Amino acid sequence: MSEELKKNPSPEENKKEEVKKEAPKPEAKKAAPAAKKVPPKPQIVVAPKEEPNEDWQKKLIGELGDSVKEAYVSVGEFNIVVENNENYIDTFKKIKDFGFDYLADISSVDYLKYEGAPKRFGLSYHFYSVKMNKRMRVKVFLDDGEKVPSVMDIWKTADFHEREAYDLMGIVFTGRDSLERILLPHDWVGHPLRKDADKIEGREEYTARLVRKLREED
Amino acid sequence: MFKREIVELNMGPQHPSTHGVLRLKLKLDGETIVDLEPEIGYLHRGVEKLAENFNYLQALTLTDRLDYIAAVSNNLGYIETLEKLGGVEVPKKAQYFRVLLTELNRIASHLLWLATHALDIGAMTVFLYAFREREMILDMFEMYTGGRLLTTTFRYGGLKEDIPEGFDKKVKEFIKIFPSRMEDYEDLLTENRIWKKRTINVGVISAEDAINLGLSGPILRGSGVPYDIRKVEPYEAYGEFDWEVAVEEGCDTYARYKVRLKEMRESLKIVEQALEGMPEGDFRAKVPKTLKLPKGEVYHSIEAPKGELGYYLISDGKGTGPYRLKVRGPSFVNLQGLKPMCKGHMVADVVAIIGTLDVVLGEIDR
Repeated sequence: MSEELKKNPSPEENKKEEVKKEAPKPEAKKAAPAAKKVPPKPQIVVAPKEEPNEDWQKKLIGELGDSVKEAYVSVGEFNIVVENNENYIDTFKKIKDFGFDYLADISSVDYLKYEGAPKRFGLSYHFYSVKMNKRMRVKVFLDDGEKVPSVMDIWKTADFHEREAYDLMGIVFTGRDSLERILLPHDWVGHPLRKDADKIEGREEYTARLVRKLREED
Repeated sequence: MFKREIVELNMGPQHPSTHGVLRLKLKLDGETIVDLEPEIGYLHRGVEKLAENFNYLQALTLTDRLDYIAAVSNNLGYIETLEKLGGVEVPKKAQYFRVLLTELNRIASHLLWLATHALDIGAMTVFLYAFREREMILDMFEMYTGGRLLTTTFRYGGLKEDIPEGFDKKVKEFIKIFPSRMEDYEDLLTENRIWKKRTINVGVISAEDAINLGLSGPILRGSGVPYDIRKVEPYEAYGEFDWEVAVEEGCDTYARYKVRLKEMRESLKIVEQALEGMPEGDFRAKVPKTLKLPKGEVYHSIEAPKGELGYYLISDGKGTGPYRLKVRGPSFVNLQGLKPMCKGHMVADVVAIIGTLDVVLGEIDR
């Protein structure tokens, strides 16, 4: 009986499988030409970049001179791209003298999986001018391990922002007293906001150290 | 006869007056503060990293948990950032209602600040009074969003749903009651001799220093800088209302107290105007169900109750979530003002100065 039971369903299953195998084929044939009409990958829409045309923008670009590698307006925001070289601090001093006295934020970005970025990391300095009521952004691109001078002497507010960029992204700032982690524990290994953070070795090491410490306390 | 030495003292992370898990490493000469170092990160949940793995709508829920006292403001900043990159025009009705809720949230946040700040200094009564009024606002949030603190209020392109029936009645009731309640707080504090002694000339910071340190919100305005993003770069419908920026020249804790009280009054004015002039029409613009944003980057900031709340969003144009989301929390930056404000003061003044900074650790640690 058991053999029969086992045998009986098998041809039915086979039939079902055959039907299943047959069934998708015409569907696939139908789907294929439709897919050709619609592009397989939707095109990436890019926010347009415009030439800076306001007077103060042109004046600022003129004052900064060769330091400016690229200047554009995108989504209504004025961007300047500078390079990490010996004029770096001078550029920022000129920006402050121009009127941008309020440094709103320093953001670090990992461009590892981003198409069209010249280097691995990026820093964006967001400025506001209380006198002129204008905003702008200064961008700099950095290689992995490239150090960048601190702007803490110009804007004291940079302290926490730079510590955060170091802590979470691993960007090292030079020319300041100390650069310690701010949000994570001081003996943490790795920088979690990097796009390859899950590959970084050392997390187990940190956990093991923590467990050992707890056991010693017991 | 007695040796003078510098004593190190830990204040926090479990300390009632630090409003969360803030630890301060104090260096004391007797009872005078020589040096101070804030130690943060106890509440770090990795909001920015989480946002990279979420889609745009899911990431909205994370913003609730930044400044959990002013979740509506956080939602507004985030949604506006998306809308700026997506280029969506929000209907007038949604704009008005967004302003109304955000201003109610500002009042709620300032009430919590007033309650805890007064409690830290020793005035217990104000705490109970302020929480009573804050409850009314939280009830309104509950009526509209279903949540009291974690509201997830707005959606891309407008509002989640239309304004519920009976909501305006609740707001009107609040508008009627609140001015007299404000007078009660002022009766208790403004001319109170102890209050004045504890706040005047405590935590002084000049306008230049405040700008250099990146302080924002009532702290900057308490130093005489009229920097209010609602006025200088009006977003939503703020340009259409009649209100004033609260500015005080005192630079101290008392000045910041007055700024926040005035702000509550101005917020109530905005709420009243927004309710009266509430336009008819759609509450949401026509937007696709799956949100995809163009490749690009945008920084948008709004005036949260604590100060300038900025979102820096990078989209790679492929995914349905942010490639990178950086939050510029006002409390995070304002905390840098603690050190220069505290130097030379007594330990008891640290409590007053933490209160006047109005920090929320959820936003600092992210």
